Amino acid sequence: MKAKHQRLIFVVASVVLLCAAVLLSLRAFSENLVFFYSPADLPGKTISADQKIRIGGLIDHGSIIRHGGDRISFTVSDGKASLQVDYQGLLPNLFREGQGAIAEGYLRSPNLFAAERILTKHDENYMPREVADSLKKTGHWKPEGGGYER
Amino acid sequence: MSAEIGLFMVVVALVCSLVAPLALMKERFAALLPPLALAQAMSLTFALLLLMWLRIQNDFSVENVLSHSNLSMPLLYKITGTWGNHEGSMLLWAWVMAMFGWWLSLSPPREDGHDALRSMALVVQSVLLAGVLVFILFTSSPFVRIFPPPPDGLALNPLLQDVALAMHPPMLYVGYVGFSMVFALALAAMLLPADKAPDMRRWAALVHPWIMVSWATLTLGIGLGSWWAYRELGWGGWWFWDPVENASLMPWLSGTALFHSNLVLKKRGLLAPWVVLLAILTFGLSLLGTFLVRSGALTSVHSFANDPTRGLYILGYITVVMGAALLLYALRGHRFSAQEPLLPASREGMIVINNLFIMTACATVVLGTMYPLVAEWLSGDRLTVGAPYFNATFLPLMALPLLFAALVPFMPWKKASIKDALLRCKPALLAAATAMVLALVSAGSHVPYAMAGFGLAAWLFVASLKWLKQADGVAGRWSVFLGHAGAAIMVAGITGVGLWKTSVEQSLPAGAQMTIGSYSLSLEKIEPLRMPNYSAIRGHVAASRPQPEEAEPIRLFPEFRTYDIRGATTSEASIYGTLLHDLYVVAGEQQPDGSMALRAYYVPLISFIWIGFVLMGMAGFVSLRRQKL
Repeated sequence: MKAKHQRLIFVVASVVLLCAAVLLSLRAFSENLVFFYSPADLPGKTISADQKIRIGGLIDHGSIIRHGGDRISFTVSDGKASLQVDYQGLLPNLFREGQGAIAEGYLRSPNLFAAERILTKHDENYMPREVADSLKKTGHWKPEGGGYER
Repeated sequence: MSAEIGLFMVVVALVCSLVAPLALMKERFAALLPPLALAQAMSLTFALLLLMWLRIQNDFSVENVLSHSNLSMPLLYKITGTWGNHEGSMLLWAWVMAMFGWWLSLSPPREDGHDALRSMALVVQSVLLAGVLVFILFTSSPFVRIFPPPPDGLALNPLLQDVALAMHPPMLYVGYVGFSMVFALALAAMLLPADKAPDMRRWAALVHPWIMVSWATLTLGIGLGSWWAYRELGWGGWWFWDPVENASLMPWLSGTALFHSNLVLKKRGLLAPWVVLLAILTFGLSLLGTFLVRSGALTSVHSFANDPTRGLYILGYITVVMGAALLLYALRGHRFSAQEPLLPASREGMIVINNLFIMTACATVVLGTMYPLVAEWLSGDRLTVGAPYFNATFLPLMALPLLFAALVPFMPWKKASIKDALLRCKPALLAAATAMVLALVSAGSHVPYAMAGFGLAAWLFVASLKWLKQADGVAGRWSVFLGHAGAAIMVAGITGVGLWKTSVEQSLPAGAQMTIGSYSLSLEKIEPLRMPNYSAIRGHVAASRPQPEEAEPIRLFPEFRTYDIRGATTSEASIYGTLLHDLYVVAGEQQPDGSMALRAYYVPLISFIWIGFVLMGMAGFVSLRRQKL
């Protein structure tokens, strides 16, 4: 009887713990989804200013303005719409005009994005997939040269 | 000619793999399997050597050499760059697979039904290999020529020119592919007719070394990858919950569950169906990892191939291999069911409970990694799952099995008392309490997390020490100690880095200062440099701190490099490492006003993480002693 009793306690404890784990993980999960939008997706979407999102596109030529220190602003576009991005901090190594980039942060107003993190890729032949897809959608995809202007 | 011979060698290996299943037709044909395994191994070795040779020779008429090598690249990276690209790495994968098959075929003939199992496993391994070789030939041949050959190549991505990364893919692949051998042996145990089905305790002893070699090299491979990311990516972090990293974590977790359960099978003859299922899942997760890395289906901070055809092929391969294996398991899995009862309060019972936690943790990683793919497929939404999700689910789920892991060695097989085990662990309880009090008193911030993390680390570490002292002469004494102590040290490191890593970012003109942690950094000079294949600006940074007083300031030289070829840029971090913390300085681009963007990190206890990786890897290898293959 003792062994059976003991086994029951273990089974119940494990099930309770595992259920707790599942509940915890589902809550954490829904709170931590970060959606991606391209600038053309944004009009008509209601995105609150405290929801973390990612936006991406090509960095427009001539749009990079350095405000001194390490503050910088630039615009990204998907060929249809563009969006101004403000950022403070070190830039990733492959950050330059014409390069595809993803910015993670908050949409402060319909046309201003405050970035916390800028992502480009290790390999300059490679374009973030979301950016490539949205360029394809807007018809600005250039397959030769990895899909972006050189 | 070399490229053509290389291609021919791949075809030879493919033919040998396709012929292997024919050996099942007659019993005496089984003798053909070892020579076939040898032929696969030899031809792929030759192909791999030829690819290296082409790179050393700078044969830019071969597309793979052209795209990933150039004249000014150091010889070491010309050689190791062989697997620094998609095509070469797939060839390496196939080569490791063939070598493992050959290794299995070397085991001496035995009477006890081992030979039938071995033959069947070699056939399964050959079929798996054939699938990989077809993939190489049709989507990823490293031997494709282009005409006319250009005079110089495009070079390997400079970030990949690193010692850790030169070693990382081979180790990771030995891990992934090693699990294919375990998978093949599991399938073989099910495929054999019932009268030849192996005794599962013997089977467990047979697969043990394969699991341990795979698990240990996978551990070290993940460690090397992480060490590379820490030093090269310039973010001062060692784990980013990036899909590519998760790809290697998933089979590692399931492999951890697998070898612990396999011990139960070996010692007690229990859990055979669960062990076989884990063997299937672990290889499935290895394949899933390859798919994630090689298809570019997910946005990762580590970029690799971005080719849907390859992704589709690998996905098809996974579907066929896993579908067949799980179907077989459904049909034949019941042959392993054992009658003996299993008590929760016993060593095997605790291992089962820990297995459940580890696999649940693994499932949360799979969910977070795969969900973006599924969501995009179902709804078209593009999204990522943030690191906080993984921290909130994975860390507590892994903390519990680590908490129990301290007790398990003190619990005998069959029937144990938790009270006895706790009494044996009294010093560990004391250590945990001390660590928690210390964290409460001295941790300036995140006190509850610090107490949990360091309490757990001290508990597990001291319990492992106690085990080492007590288990004199017991098999598994050192592997249990190294594995559990390594995990404990790693927990301490993860806690330290996770809670107290700080960073400062500033644009400094030459001569200016900034502070980080207890250090004050002064940028003494900004020096332009010209090297054979890149130009750079180098910061001369002197770091000093009031306590403890050092006579000489610490000198750090972060660089911002621009490579001649492709105009690729990299930030070379400069790191001053001590046992208890690292001081980590990265340089960014030179600003228009001539100042240098500097980012400094104070990273406490990071070295504990590397020590943890090494100890756990060693644990795997130590457990191979006195084992017969």
